Amino acid sequence: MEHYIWLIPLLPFLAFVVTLIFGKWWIKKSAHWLPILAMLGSFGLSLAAFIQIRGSEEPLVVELWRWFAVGSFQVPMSLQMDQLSAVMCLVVSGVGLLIFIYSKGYMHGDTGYYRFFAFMSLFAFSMLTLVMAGNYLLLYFGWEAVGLCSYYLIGYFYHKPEAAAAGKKAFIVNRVGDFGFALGVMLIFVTFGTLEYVGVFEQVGAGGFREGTLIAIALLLFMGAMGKSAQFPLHVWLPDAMEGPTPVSALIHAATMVTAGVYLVARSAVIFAGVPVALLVVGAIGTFTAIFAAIIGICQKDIKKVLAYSTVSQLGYMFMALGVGAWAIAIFHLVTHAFFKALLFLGAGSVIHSLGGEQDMDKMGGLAKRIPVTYWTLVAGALALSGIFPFAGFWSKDDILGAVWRDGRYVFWAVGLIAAFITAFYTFRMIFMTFFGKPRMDERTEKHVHESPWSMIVPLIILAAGSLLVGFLGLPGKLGVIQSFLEPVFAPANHILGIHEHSLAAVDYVLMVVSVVVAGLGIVLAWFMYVRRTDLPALLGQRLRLLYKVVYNKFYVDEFYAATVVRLTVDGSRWLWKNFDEKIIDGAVNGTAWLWKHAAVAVRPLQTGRVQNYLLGIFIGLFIVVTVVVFL
Amino acid sequence: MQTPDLVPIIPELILLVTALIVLLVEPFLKSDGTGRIDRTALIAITLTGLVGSVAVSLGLSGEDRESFAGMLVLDSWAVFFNVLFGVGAVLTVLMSPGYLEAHRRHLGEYYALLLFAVIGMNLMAAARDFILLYVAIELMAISSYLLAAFFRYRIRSNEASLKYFLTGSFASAILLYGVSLVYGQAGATNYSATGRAMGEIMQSAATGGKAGVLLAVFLVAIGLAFKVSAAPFHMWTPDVYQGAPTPIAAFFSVGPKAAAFSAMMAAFVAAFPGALKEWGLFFIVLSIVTMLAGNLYALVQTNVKRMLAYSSIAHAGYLLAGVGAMGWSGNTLPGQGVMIYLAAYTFMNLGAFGILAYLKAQMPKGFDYSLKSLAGLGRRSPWTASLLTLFLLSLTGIPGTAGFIGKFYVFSGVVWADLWWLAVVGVLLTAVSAYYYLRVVIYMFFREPEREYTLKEPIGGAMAASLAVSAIATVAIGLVPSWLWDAAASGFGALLK
Repeated sequence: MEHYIWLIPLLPFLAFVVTLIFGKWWIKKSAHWLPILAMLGSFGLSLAAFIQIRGSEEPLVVELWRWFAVGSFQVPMSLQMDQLSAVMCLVVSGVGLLIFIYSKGYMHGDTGYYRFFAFMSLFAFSMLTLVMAGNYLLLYFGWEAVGLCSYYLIGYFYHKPEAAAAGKKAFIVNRVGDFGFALGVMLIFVTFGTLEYVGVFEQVGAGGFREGTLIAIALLLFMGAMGKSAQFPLHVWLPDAMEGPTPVSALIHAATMVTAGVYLVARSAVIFAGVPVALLVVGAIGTFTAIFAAIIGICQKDIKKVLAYSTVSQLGYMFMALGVGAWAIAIFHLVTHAFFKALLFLGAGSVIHSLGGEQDMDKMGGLAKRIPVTYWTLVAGALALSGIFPFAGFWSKDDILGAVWRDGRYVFWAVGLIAAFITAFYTFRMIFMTFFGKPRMDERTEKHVHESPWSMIVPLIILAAGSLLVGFLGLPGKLGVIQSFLEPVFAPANHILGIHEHSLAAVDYVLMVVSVVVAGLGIVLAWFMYVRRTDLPALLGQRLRLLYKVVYNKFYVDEFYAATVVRLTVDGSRWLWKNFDEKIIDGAVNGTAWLWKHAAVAVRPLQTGRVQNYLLGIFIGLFIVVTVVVFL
Repeated sequence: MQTPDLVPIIPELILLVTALIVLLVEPFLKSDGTGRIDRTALIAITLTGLVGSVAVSLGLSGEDRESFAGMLVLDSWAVFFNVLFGVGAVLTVLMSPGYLEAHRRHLGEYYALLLFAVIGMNLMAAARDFILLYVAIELMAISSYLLAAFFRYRIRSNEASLKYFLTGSFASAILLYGVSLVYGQAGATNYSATGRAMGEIMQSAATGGKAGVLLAVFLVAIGLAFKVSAAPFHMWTPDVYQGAPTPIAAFFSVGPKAAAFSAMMAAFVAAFPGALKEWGLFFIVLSIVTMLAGNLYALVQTNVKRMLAYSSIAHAGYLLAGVGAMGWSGNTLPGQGVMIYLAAYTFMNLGAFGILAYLKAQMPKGFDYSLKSLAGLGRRSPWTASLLTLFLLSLTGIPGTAGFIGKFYVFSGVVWADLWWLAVVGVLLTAVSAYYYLRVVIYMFFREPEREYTLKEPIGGAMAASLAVSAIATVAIGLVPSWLWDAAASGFGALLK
């Protein structure tokens, strides 16, 4: 295995280089082949690694090379393959492969076709590096690289000002989180003297460190996770990121990159397990985000924005699970979510594609018969997201709620349950508004409605099958395949927390039934409001005008930031620029430059061009040296 | 008398035979109808010889053989530099034909002289005796004088050669004087024997004896300082580089300089361990003056070729800081940094000069390497401009490139030697250097030319190959430098044995 795992990230990277260099002139319209083949290769190798690593107690660490080393300061480039990395690799390369294939149809005819595939490949490389890194530094590299690709791909339609602004916003908001993350990495190095996972976790396991330090490390790492995984209050960038092409939203802003925060916390489980305070913070932020984003999702009109808030909310669930030490379950939800959320995005993309670019659900409706494959696959995704038996979301969400209940955090559980109800409601609100009722688009668009090409349909069907089936990997309790597969990775953390496997009890069955019933109620309510009594939403909007406005405007978080943080930063920076930068810094810099320039001009005449003077120079040097030697 | 073991000089013998073959073959080359002679065969022979020599060096790297009564050795120290010089020469040869053809002066002697120079350089690194060191230096130097004058119908080229020759002989005389003082006091010219004898004299602490030793040490140091163009012995450098054919200037700036550094470190570590602090301090002072002078002069240049010449002086200053710190602290870490820096510098500087040679052949007549004439290159020849940018960024020391790794190792070695203030000076002057390197980039990408121009046809694959190898090596060393560190460490291991 150590002979090939380095190929997993390398293949997409090669695809990136070749596509970028030769794409514009040579490859042009067949730019998709190389990236797709590279992803296929990565997927195959990930699968091989996945099969080989199962049951292995120790992670496989491959040191590719040392970047530099002076004394004890070592910067190794090492990849680590264990069960957690294997799962993540499979998700990234598998879902990525499907989305690449989908993009062939979706991006067809775009002027930047090769550019799109080049940067998607670069993203795949970065993400695979992130999940396969063997130390925090390489993880950080991958972390920043996916951020960069995300920035680039959000602003893919760079001629649209909103897209460019959204890209910038994502980048800047992530900086806030990454600042904390970087501090965390430095603190890890200062504390443990190494950045290698194996070394760090061994030392944490052995104990003997001040709890304050560990809390600081955990919270700083979590700060990075909050930025990348769009947790309140750093969630504001993700909905705006929907300006990017839909495959980008599906791959980067739903299935993979945004789950990097969850991966980071799960990877550092040993650190978090030792500090209950940090775990509580993780759980509380996750739970709050889960319901907060779900509420905003109710009122969105843009189909992609609904899904974006739903992603934020589902990521909240994952952090909720991490907060009670249910590491494996969080990863399980990550996997199922990758399937059904990618499916929902791609399905939404198919709808948008068939309507010639329309994203406003007020201008959809009645599409069920016109684009049946998209319709049925989307319904499968919606059922999975709502948590209806036996779809994937049911198993993973129920596992989370069960774990939270067992841990005795009933408040989290109750909030999670309400959020599940809202989730089911807004998801089916979306389905009903899109596919039911009378068509609300203009005639010309209506005439053009068409089912998408095979390259878009096939990934939808595969993902729909996945959304139905992957849930069975994570049956609750001792039946769970994925839990026992991940056991070796999380055993040390579970040992610290004193968590044991449990058998299914009556309470588990009760919880399952409750959550399905709640989700079902949400769907029924959505059906009642958006199919049966279509006048109700407008009426409610009138009655609860103020509430509606607050929710519709996303609780004014963006406005709040604009008025406070952004305003302060801009004004403060301007003041600094005028007073500090222009006067002091520039003055100093220009002064130094002036000094150098004049010094240089002053010595210039020494270089006369006459060889006698050169020899004189040598002689003077010699003279000085001899004098010093003889007289000192 | 015993027959000397010839195995350690096989790499040099290969080069010698190759050079002779080149000279012999040339008269038999037939011209085609138009009077032009295809000299591809000569290039092929030269490259084969160089590659063979490098391969043999690598093959012999496990051996640790002494020969000629301890005058020279072939150990991992010598192998490191043999490979470095060989690769540098290969790149120079590859970038030459197009340039020489463009000047209608493509002759076989060129390659032969280059090979002779490389023999001299190899022997400088392998020498463990002052006499051999002197002979090797002269072999390299005389070949260099001729190469500088290769465009003998051009007044600038003649000037370069003559200046090089005059100042060079002056420096050789100083070196030889130093060597004679060494012999007079130590009664030996062999490094290790000298080291023992000089150490005893320094121990005995008689003031007169000490001064005598130091005088010898410093005279040798000045002789070598001239070769690495350290200030105030640097003034020949810009004139020679500017006058010599550009590929030769490229070669001068990396090959002979690296050879002089290898000889400097080998000789001073092995022969003058008794005066470590003293020569360490000497090189530290020299390094400060050199860094200052190189950067100051480079700042005001408007001619890129001349700017690169001055900047090569600045780089010699950084390298001397490493050598000085090694002597001052008696620790080899800064010295290993110097070896890495030399490897990195070979590629990035050859690349930068190579681009200039390329442009000279491709640009319209009247191209004089001035900043202004580079304006707008970014749009007219994006690849050339991007590559030059890469090399300049590397010369500045931007992370991700070889230049950063070189500076990192040298300066962290300097800090290791508790000379953090010297590292601060070096890093600050590096910041100054960003000004004149990046100015070129600004001209290429953000300035419009005064007169519209178009580039001529590309001048052949050899040049492209040379530039590509330099670029790839520049990035590769920046990303994966650890093998170089290991090679440098084993080189020092062999030297100190």
